[in-house]
Amino acid sequence: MELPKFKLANVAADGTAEEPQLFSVEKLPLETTTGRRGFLGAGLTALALFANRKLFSNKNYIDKDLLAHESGINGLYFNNTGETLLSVTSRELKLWSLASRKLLGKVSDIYINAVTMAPNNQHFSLVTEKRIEIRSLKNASLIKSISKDEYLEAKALMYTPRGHQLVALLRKREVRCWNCDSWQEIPFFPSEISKEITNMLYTPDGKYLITIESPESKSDYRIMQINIRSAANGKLIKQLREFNKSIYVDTLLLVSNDSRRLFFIEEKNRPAALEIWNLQTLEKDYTYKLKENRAVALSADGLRVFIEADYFIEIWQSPMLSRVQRNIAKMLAVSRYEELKEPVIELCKHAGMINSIAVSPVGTIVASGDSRGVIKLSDWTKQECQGYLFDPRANQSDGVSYNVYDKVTGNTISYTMPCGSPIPSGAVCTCNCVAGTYKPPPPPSHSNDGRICSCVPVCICMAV
Amino acid sequence: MLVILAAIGWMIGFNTIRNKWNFFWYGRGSVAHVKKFYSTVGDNDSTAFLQLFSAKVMQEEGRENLIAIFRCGVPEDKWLGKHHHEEIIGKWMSGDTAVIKVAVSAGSYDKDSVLFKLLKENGDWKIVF
Repeated sequence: MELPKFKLANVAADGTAEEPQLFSVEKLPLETTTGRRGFLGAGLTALALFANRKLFSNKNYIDKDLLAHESGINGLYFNNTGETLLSVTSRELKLWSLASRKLLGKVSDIYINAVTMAPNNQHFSLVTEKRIEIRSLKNASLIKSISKDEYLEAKALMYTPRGHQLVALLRKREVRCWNCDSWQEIPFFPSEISKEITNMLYTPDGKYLITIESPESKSDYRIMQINIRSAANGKLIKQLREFNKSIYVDTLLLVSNDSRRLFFIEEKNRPAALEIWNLQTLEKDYTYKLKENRAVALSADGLRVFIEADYFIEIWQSPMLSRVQRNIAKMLAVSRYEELKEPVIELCKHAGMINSIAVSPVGTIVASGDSRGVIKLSDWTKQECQGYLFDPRANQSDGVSYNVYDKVTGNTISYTMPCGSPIPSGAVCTCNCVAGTYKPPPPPSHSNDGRICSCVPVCICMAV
Repeated sequence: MLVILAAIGWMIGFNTIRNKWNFFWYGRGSVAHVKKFYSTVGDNDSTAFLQLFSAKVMQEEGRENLIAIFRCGVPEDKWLGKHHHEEIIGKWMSGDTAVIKVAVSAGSYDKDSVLFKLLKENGDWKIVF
């Protein structure tokens, strides 16, 4: 029988880390192998595992968190290939590699208004106080700065679907547009609506421009409209509906990657209704009342919605309905997709309130960021936490990162977990502290004397 | 003037009476069919539920899709879970078709009005769309 193998790297809070090394069980490093004391510890831990499997198999159980940022996460953005993740706080931006779980680069001490990923996977853009910056997706280095000596308070920043133009929606209901080859400002079309938009979004297929508009022609300035316009010429195709809200209220628009579904919330960060519109029939599929909506994200096919529920993520199903099904759903008053659900899946509990969720456009990874600066990665198909994005410099504690070989897929999965945390679900083999022996490390210092995991380590192999 | 008003009133009254008569005579059993729609869901009786639809609906939608949506409406707990409140608020006959307007709610949610379209098929009312 082939023995399980794993890679183990210790990561210290002072920023130092070992190169990951590959070990088989019988060749574990001295400090992690099961000595006489470790054997006892392993026996006790194994006994505890069997006696209280629920505790150890609870994916939400958290002993200690590792920080990615020193302040709360405001936004998470995957690139098109799902290989890179941007995490944004109010004054800082970090770029992460999902494969290695390593920090690729960061931008600090700037006020970040809005961020967007370029469709070409070469760069990303952000709006700061007085300029728009184009930065590399390799290391966040500055490529181009569109400097303007004026205050730019942007609500949203986006590329047109083919990536030819960069569009900024300003808080004063003005849309600005730049050519991505010359970076010269060009007029945004359609000019007749460019001063009335309070929110907008292109569908990924390039067919529609979805806008929330507050027409100045209306006598009541609070009346807003959800409009489906042609992305090619801005021509109005259909007005989905009108609603009454102040123009200063932030609405939420999301479109699934396959451009089949539009998700709309009238007022962000408040109890509100999440509407799901079918972009093929331009009819509404469901309305679901949310108690709050600090963070909402979609699966690529738009059939699952990820909603923060304070400290964890709920996943709801929202299947596409046929004409007959939609009619019967109405007859049964099944207007909420809560009632069209398969069991809710709760992912990866946080200790702080979740502020942001992003779903990988190609894989099954969900990133969630909370108010304390923690970013967790989960696999929603396996319903398991996959560890943290960890910047040692943002932490006062240490972590262990290791790679585990997934026998089913043949992939190597990287985990970063705090010292002394329970064994992640799906791990073949890992080393951990004997229960009760973990001591938190001292706060980080600028000298290199801080090390990790002050405890008696023990190796436990679990059958999978 | 009075004659015109009387004629309009008579026509309205006549149409109302005619509609009521038509529904009484030709629409018998259609309201019970709508009520049965909700009782089959409440009783979690999918076999009876499927028998409520016309052959065309069954052919167009398929048994699996109808069962899938049926399951969404079944109360989670017969006594404590959500259940439907339906109230007939209108009924008409139009040729062979009975149209019944129902205000329906599930649990504590707001009432919404829906139209049931029923057609006689081999002597029995069936739901069509």
